[in-house]
Amino acid sequence: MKKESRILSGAEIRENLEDPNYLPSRKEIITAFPGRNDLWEYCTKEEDQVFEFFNEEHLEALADYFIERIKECGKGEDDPLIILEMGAGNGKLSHFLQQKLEKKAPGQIKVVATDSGSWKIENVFPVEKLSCDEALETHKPDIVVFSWMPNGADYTEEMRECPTVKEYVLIGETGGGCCGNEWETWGCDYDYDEDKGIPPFEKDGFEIESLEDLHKLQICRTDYNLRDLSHSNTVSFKRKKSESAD
Amino acid sequence: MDILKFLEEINAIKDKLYQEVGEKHENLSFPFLVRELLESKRLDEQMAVDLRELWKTRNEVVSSRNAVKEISSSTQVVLARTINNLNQN
Repeated sequence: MKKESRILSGAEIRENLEDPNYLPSRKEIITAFPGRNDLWEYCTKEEDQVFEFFNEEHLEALADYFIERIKECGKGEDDPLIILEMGAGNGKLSHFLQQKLEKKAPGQIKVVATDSGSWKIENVFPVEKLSCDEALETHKPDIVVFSWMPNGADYTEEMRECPTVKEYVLIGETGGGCCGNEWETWGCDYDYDEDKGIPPFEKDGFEIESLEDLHKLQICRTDYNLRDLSHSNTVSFKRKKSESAD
Repeated sequence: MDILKFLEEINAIKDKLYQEVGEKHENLSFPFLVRELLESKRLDEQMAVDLRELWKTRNEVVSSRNAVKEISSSTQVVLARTINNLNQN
């Protein structure tokens, strides 16, 4: 929650960031961390690591994107759209997203934060301790969100196997970057001598779309010039209509 | 070599290679960039292997749950060799 409306100094913004309820604007992040080293050092401090630097504008746009999906998924007040976050860590993404969604579309979307607990990240906001399979089985979501899937790991196969999942949204660096598995998550084949064929998500009846309008609003720990486009992306994988279980 | 210096060097290498092909990072991922440069013979096999290794280390470092402070001596060797080769081209 914003404490003041006047223009804050970098030091004041950094002080505000100590409050977990504070969601900065992009401009405030750029002001608070003018040099690349500043951002990296803040994001890698032991007690509260930051991978995606969530900001007002990106989460506002993400909320608007999900609101569009309510009708597309045939959901509403009587049957809310369920968004499951996996790998939620400290729970900030789900917390701020639910806040925005409640303002824009009260009672129509429910966001649930889950995490296996394997990284032992302290919860700042409510996060259910569940493995990926348990989370999908328990909540039977319409949409799954995963921010900064660990390097080399892939949990998207489980998402696609869940019959209620119509879409999953990945936030972070994409194919070639440090999130997920090159082939299993992104279908990127960098091997010079081997053709791996159809990407797994495509084989499972999903199509990929990079949400460019959201990408322009993102900031992450690997950004070394905050005025350039971020290394982080927001990417949607939607189940093709003919493959829908509903 | 501390991690910030390593990341600065990797970014400088990345920028230099992107200038080579005239592409911005949002259009071509780094591993595909290396593959393209290799296939167009603007890089040799060893350079491509070294670049992939450096990028793999970069990915491990920037996504690590535990803050990485230093890079290994073997990575420093690969980095030095890569910078030297790029400067010669």
